[in-house]
Amino acid sequence: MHEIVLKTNGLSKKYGRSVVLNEVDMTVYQGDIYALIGKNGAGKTTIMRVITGLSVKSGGFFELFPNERRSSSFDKKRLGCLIGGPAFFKNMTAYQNLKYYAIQKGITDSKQIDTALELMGLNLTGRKKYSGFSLGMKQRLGIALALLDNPDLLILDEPINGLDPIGISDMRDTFKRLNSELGITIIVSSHILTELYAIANRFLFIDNGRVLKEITKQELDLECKRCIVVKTNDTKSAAVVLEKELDISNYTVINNCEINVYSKNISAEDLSKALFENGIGISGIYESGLSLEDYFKRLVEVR
Amino acid sequence: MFNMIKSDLYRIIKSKSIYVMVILMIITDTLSVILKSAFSISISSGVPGNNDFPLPLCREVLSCNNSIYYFSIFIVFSVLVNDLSCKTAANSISTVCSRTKYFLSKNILIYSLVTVLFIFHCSFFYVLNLPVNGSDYYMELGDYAKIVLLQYPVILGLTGFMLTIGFVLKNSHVFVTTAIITPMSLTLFFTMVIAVTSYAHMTGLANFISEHIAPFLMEIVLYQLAFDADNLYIFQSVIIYLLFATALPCAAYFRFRKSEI
Repeated sequence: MHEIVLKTNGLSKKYGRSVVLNEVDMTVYQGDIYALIGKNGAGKTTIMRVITGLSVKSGGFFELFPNERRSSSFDKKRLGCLIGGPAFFKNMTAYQNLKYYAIQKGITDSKQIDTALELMGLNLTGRKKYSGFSLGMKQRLGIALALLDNPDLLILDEPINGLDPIGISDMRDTFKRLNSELGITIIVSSHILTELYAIANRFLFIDNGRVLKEITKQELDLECKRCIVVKTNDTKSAAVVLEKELDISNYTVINNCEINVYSKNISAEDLSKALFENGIGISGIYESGLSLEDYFKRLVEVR
Repeated sequence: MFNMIKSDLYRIIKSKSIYVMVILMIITDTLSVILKSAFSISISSGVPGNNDFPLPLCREVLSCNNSIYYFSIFIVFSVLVNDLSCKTAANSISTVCSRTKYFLSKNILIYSLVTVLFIFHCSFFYVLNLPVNGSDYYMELGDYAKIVLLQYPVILGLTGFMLTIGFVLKNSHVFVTTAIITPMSLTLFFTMVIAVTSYAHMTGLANFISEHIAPFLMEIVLYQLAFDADNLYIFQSVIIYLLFATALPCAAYFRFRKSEI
C-alpha cells in the first residue's frame, strides 16, 4: 500500500448556517490522481481551499503527509495549487510573476522558472504583461506556478478551464507524465468528466458537501459495466446459442439485430467466439455500460 | 519571512506606483522650498495656533506632515491591498507560508517603507531648503530632528490604521476610498459636532470633544507637535498613536487569521 498523502476525517465547513462541507472523509495515497466530482457548489473547491489554508475548517481534521513529522510551513512548500482560477499581478510578465513566487519559495535557480514556463508553453511570452494574456494563457501560468517547486502534491481546481482542445489534450498528457514519471500525486476537479476519467485512478463523488462515494477506477469500471451488446442479423439463433450452449438466460433482445447480454460470467471475446463457432454472423460486439456522467447522475438520484 | 519581504521588494521595484509616489513627494517638497510655503492636503483651515505671524518654513512643512499619510496609501496599497484584492495572496498562503508569517512580513515591510519615506521626506526638504532659502528659513537640526522624532509615533499609528483597513477590507477601491476620506471625514464630523453642540448650548459635549478628541485628530496633532505642544499633550498623543500602531494591527490579525482568502 502506498503512503498516505492526505487524510481527512469528518472535515466540515459552514458559512453561517449554510453547511458547505459535511463530515468529509477522504484518503489520498501517494501516486494517486484523485478526481473530485460534483455539481457546482457541491464542495469540491471548498475541500481544496480548506486543505490549503485558504479557508478555515469548522470541524473535523485533515493531515497532509501524516507519516512525516514536519512543520506546517514545510508541508505547504510540498504543495502546488491552482484553486479558484489563476491570480497574478496584471502589470507583470509571466516570468516576473513566477520570479516573485520563486523568491518567496527560496528558489535561487532561475532555470526552474524557465522550465515551468517552457512546460506550459509560455516561454515565448516575453514582455507581454499578464493583463494581456488570454484565459488559456492565464490558466497555463497558474499551472506553471503550481509546478514551480517540483511539488509532491498538486491540487488543481478546474485546471483545463479556458483551454482549447489541443491544450486540454496536452494538459492531460502533462498530468499523466508528472504522475507517472515524477510520482507527483494530483488532486483534480473538473466539469469535463471524460477528461477526469481519462487521467484519474481514484474518484470522490460529492454532493451538497456530503461524500457520496469514494471509489477506485477498477471498482468504477466494474460498477459501470452493464452488458455486452451483440449486433447480428440472426437474433433468434443467437438467443438459442446463449441459452443452450452458454447457459445464459440474463439477456434481452432489443430488436431484430441487437441483443444485450447481462451475464458477468462471460467476456465479449468468449461470447463472439461461441457465436462464431455456431455459425452466427456478428456485425459488432462490444461492452456497454454507464458513462461516468450517468454513474454520477445515478448516485445523486439514489441519494 | 525574509523571502516574503524580498519578493515584495522585487515586485515594488518592478511597479511604477512607487516611483510615481517618490517623484510626487520630491515635487511637493521642491515646490514647498521654492514657494516658501508648505504643501498640505487638508479640508481644515482652522488648525489651532497663532497664524498672525509668519511661520518658520521648516516648522510649517513639518506641521503639514499629514501628506505622509496620503503618500503612505501608495505603499500599503502596493505591498498589501493589491495582493489581497487580486487574490494573489492566495498563492503565497496556500503554498509558501502561514497566515501569521504573511501578516508579519507585510507589517514589517510596510512599517519599514513608511519610516524610510518619512525620513526621506523630512531629510530631503531640510537639505534642499538650506542652500535655496538661506538662514531666514532655516531651523536648527536638533530642533528639527526632535519634531520629526515626536511625529514619528503618529506616522506609525496612522500606518497601523491603514494596515488594519487593508487587512479588513481586502478590496483596493474600498481601501483607497476609506483611507482617503476617513481623516477628512473625522475632522469634518467633529468640527460640525462642536458647532452644533455649541449652537444648541450643549457646552459640556462641545468642550469634551474640543478638549479631548479634536486635539488628537491627525492634522491637528501633527501641527501641534510641530509648534507649541506641552509635555502632557506630547505624552498623550504619543501613547494614543503608539496604541493605534500596535492594537489596531493586532485586531486586524485576529480577523485576518479566520477570514477567507
